Amino acid sequence: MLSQNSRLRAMKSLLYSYYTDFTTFYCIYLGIITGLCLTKFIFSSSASGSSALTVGMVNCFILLPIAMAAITSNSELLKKFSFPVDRDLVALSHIMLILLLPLIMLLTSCIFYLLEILASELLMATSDNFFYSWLVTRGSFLAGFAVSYIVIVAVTALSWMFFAWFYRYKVIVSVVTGTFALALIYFSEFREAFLSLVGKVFVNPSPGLLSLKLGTITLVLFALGYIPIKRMEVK
Amino acid sequence: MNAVILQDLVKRFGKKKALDGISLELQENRIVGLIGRNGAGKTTLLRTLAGFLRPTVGSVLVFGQNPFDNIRVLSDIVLMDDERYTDNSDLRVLIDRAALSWSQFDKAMALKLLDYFNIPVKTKIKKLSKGMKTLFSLVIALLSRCPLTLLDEPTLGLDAAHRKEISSLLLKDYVNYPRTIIVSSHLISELEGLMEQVVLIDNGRLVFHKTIEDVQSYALYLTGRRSILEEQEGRRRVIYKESMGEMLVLGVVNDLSAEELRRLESSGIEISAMGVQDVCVNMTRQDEGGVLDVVSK
Repeated sequence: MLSQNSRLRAMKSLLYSYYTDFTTFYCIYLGIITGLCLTKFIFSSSASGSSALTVGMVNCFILLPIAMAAITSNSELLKKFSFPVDRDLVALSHIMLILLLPLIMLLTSCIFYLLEILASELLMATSDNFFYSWLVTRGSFLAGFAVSYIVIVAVTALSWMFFAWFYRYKVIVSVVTGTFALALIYFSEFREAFLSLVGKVFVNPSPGLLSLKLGTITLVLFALGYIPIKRMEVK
Repeated sequence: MNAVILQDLVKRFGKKKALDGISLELQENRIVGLIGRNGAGKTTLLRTLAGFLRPTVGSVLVFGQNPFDNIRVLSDIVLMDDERYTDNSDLRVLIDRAALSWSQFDKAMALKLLDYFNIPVKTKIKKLSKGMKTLFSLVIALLSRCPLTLLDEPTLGLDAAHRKEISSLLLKDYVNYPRTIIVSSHLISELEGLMEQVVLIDNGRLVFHKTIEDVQSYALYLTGRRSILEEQEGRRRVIYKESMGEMLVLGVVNDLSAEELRRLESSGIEISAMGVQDVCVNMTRQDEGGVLDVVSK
């Protein structure tokens, strides 16, 4: 009972800490997406029905791996360990962030998408010199949202797993990653074998099957990233 | 009950042994001074107790349990050092986090003390001076009222007035809320009045663990004519020696009987107690001599 109480307190404290950290991160995301959408509107005489969604997704692909690099670094973890917390709670809170942040960011880009439609409708009604292509239907939107979310979660989980290992075993991870990259560049047989493996997983499956495959990969990445965090010393 | 039990504790960083076979038992509700030179292993020991580091060999028990990755024990431990709270956060956020983390944390008192020390809670921790940061960390550590409070250099960057106030605050809070406090500091003379026990470590090894009274009477300075003291040198455990012409100063472990002391005094030898700081310095003195020997070569 006492142990559960300690764990609950530690979890609340840790989540509060991540909440305050990621408020700033979210503001940066909001700033970038606002800036890009406005720029597109100001400098272009046309807009596609998915520009806010594309901008949002690209931002997720850039910002979330950066966030993962930050939260798994030794200095960030040292800060978290200034208050009572164990490694399971740290890993759990990271997984919660990996699941929640893409959702919040994608929902934000959807709000921007609605604003974009509204602004485009207004512009089309008032100007003859504006062209707007309506590409997204309700069905494609929902499927796209689900698949985008799962893809972003998988990419974020991959970067979390990578950095969790990297900060703990810098030399080994650098050597393995470097060798892998060089093999991809210089050995065409290896490259083709790797690409065909990736192709088998990702090319032409239905959205449901793709989500299932990515979900499984994400779970494996969570398990792999948990290992170095569970074993780490706080230095 | 023992708050801390260490058994043959070894901690290696690569090839370097930071802690080398330390065995120690610390009782609950004591203020213990952890003394040692730079690089002696004090910080490593405190971090191992705080569950940050895993022992390479041996065991660490805090309140009967291994602290590494054990939230039940970690909730009862607070470590204050100069690497805590390096966030870009406001102090208020950190205080809120402390209140969430420790049920016994006295938030109202923390705010009062920060106000007294002129530390605005809306400031970011990065913008505080070294001394203010130390004060803030100390306030959090003391008011968390954890059963095991670990203070690593708690007077770092503090001026004399603040050091005095912190000593009073620590003592007052300890009297009201007894707990085990381990203080690591170089300013031994200033903390001598607080410490009940002294743990001296050198090169990762335990030199001694004694009560403050035992350390205060542990060694003596004998000052007098070389011819008389050289005779003593062979018979005593000498921890300090300094020649000044025909005069000699010997620091010896105090195992002299009352009769022997009387005889020395009657032969013109001046006898004085070696202070706690001098005992600690002399017990961990490097064999190759002092810095002046290096300069004079």
